[in-house]
Amino acid sequence: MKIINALRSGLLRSAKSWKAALIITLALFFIISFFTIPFRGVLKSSLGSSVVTGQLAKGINFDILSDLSEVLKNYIRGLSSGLFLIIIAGMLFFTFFSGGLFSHLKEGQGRFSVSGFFRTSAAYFWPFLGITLIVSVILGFVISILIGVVAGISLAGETVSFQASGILRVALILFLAIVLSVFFLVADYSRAHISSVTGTSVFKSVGYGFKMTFGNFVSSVSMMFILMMIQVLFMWFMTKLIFVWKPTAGLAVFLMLITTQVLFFIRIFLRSWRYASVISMMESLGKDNYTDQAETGKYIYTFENNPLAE
Amino acid sequence: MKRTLSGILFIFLIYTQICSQIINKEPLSPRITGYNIEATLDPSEKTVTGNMEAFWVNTSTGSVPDVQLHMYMNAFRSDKSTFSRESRHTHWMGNSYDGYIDITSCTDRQGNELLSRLQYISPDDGNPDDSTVLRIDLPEPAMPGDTVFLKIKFVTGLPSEIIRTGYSGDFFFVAQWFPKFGVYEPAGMRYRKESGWNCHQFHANSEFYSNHSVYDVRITVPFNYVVGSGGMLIEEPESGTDENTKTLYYRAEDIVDFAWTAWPGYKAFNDQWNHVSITLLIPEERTAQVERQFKAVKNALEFFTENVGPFPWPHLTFADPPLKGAGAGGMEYTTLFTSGSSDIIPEWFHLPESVTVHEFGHAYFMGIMATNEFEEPWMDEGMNSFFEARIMDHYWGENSGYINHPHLKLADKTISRLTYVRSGYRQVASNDLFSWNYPQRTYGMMSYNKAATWLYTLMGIVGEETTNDIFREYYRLWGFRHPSSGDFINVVNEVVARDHGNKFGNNMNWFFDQTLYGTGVCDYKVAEISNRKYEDSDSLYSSTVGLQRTGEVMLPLEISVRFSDGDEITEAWDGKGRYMELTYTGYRKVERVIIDPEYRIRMDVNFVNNSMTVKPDTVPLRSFTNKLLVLIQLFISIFTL
Repeated sequence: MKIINALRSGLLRSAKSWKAALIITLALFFIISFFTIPFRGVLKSSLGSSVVTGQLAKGINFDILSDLSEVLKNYIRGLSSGLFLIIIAGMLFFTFFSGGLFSHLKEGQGRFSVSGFFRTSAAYFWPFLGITLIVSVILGFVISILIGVVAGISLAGETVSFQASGILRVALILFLAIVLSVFFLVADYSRAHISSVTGTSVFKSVGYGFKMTFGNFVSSVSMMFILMMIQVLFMWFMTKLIFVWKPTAGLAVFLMLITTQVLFFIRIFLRSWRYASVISMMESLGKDNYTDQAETGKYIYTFENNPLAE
Repeated sequence: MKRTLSGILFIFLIYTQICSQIINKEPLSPRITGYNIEATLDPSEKTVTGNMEAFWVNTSTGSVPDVQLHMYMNAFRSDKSTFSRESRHTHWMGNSYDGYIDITSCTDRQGNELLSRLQYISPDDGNPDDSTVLRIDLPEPAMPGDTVFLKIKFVTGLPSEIIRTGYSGDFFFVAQWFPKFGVYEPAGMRYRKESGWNCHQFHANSEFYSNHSVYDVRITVPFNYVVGSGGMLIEEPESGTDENTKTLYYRAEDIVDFAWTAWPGYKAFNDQWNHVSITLLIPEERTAQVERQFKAVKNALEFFTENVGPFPWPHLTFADPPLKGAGAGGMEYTTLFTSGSSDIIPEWFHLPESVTVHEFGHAYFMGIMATNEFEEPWMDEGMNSFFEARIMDHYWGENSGYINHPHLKLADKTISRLTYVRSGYRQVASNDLFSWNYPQRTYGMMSYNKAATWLYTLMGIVGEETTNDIFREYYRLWGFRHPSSGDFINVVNEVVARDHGNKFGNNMNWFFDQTLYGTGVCDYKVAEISNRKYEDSDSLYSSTVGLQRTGEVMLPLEISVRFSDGDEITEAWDGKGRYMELTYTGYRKVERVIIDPEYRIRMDVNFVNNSMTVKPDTVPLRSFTNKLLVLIQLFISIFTL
């Protein structure tokens, strides 16, 4: 019941914040267009008037792509650095906007204000970036250990029975899903905490994230698992559509652009649902915790009385 | 007297071996050499102790004062062997050089001890520290028609790092393990002006060259070991010297090498294709791969039988080594070969099939047409890669032989082409070098990929049916012999003339001069399309198409020209000039030109410039960049918490 309530409340809150999801979608669209539009120009000029584009339209043709890379080799170094920078910039923007999103998804927020969204995004950027980096490093470390375990099991393939190695593989996938759920929860609880309590440090928030995650392990992880499954299924559908759809006319290309951007908007909306559900769960579980903090002179801020948002 | 009697008995036994037929009704080869070996594997010492009787027949017209034998396993004896020195660049080598082969006794038919007449030689590089070729000075020269008999006792220490051969724990792959005769080439054979031994050292980048032989091999191993070999199991396992061992008797006829593998973890599966009984040895974890592996080998058997010639042996064994023995994977010993896979491989990824088809194919291009892989590696690896790609395309989908995923397709022939055309060293050597003489680590690219690519190009020029005719004739003329490049070219010339007259000139030497013996690249491009309206007419055009040869290689081409009224014509160009112009006058414009529209000239290093249109289609580009945009968006959203 606790999980359903959190998911329902999260869905309502994220629906109220749909404009935030739209802003993130548009921001990423424009940032990445700085790469894709010049890239299209380079491709166009390199291909000249060749008809091999027709081959590419049918699907990935390695002969053509490789020959194209030969034509493009002078550009590729610059393009790959450009792509790297765009991805880093996109990730920073995403982190930036998540500050505004977390702040607006809290209980008791009023109408969505674009200026307020940007203000809180800016206010929480550094602590959110810190949380993202800390959790990402720990997650990377844990995943590399998991990869080591998988490699070890593969190498021991001759000594482990086929059935046993199959069971181990399934167990590893489940374990990976739980690990991801746990670290997403840690990150989300930490950010929800930092956007709710003033004067707290990044490390304290991360500690709070771990405490909340493991203190309410079953309900939190189950909820995150459901949200992750929904997101994975949606992304599977989305990528499938991207690869299958082969438009043959200019209008169809435009339609594809609109459709894929709408789908990406839904993808961001689902992410915002995750954040909102975690905040709802935190609010329903962590009242005592807040009270403790309030008694020690710290306050729970709503958007209206959050001094950072002034 | 006793010595003479034992010598006579020995000769009798050997002649019995030469004349006896167990597997096929008639000998398939001249049987210039033969081996009778008793081998015992010691799993704790990692050694094979052998007792070998062997013969070699002098088929030349002159006397021969010595015999030469390969002692391949000595390549692993030290870091100074030619193999080790060359391997530093291409193989990861451990610190332990623990492989070796020692001869403990060597006698002739009269029982004369020959140990004092043994001498290691290094005919290729003069390396005094290499001991992979052994010369035995005969007490008396072998006269024409004489048979030289040797009785050799040897101990082979298997290397701990498996590079084709060796051991890993309780897994053993025993190849290049016994003293083996080189090939004595009489004057006139291949490129020989004077008769002599062709017995090369063991190199990092080379494989083998041997006579077709008869092998009778008795292998003693611990009782729990599963054994596979290139021979046919003649006698069911019997107990060895004690209850813990067993001895298996294998017979192989007319094959060029005998290897075997032993491991308690193998599970054996059997299947049948026409007259061929197929055995697969595979780790139990991979039983899910069995059906795929059998399908692959049966497809290869069918394709080769139809397009080259029949598979002459009734038995075939292949092994899929465990991960710890992966160094033994992907090798060929005619009626025994090794595949390569892993426990889980998706159905759309045809790596195991590709390896199996390739390694099986060596039974033809190394086993039946026993080419000299030391000197002309393309004749084995190149031809075989060409057939591998054709088989994969034929049975697993055109252009999707290697990967056949709904969103990703990749053909073996594409891998070959790209490896060649994208190599920065594609012009540093011609395709006819000795295997260890290829510079800049180009052995693989040249022997496998460039050769396969120009063989595809040859097929594009003369047609698929003529190509099959060529290989059928090659099999008919050169099966169980030792063909050279020149012999193959003669076959091509003969068959192409028979099928096409002088359509391609007096012979096809012009093709091989550029591809096999040349270093040039092939690149044709459409330089321009021009449609000029006549001043005194509203709709009469003078259209010009400019075609350019930017590479050195000159090949005949087809040009597809499409006009504004939808009409499409095909023009022919001999491809010799640097530039050619096609002109058209009419009430229509030239809309699109494609050189080699069917991609038959796979040697062309750039397909992008092979075409031009006056109405470029921007839809694919826009679609591609839109998809790229949303994929980057997704990537960022996934990797940001």
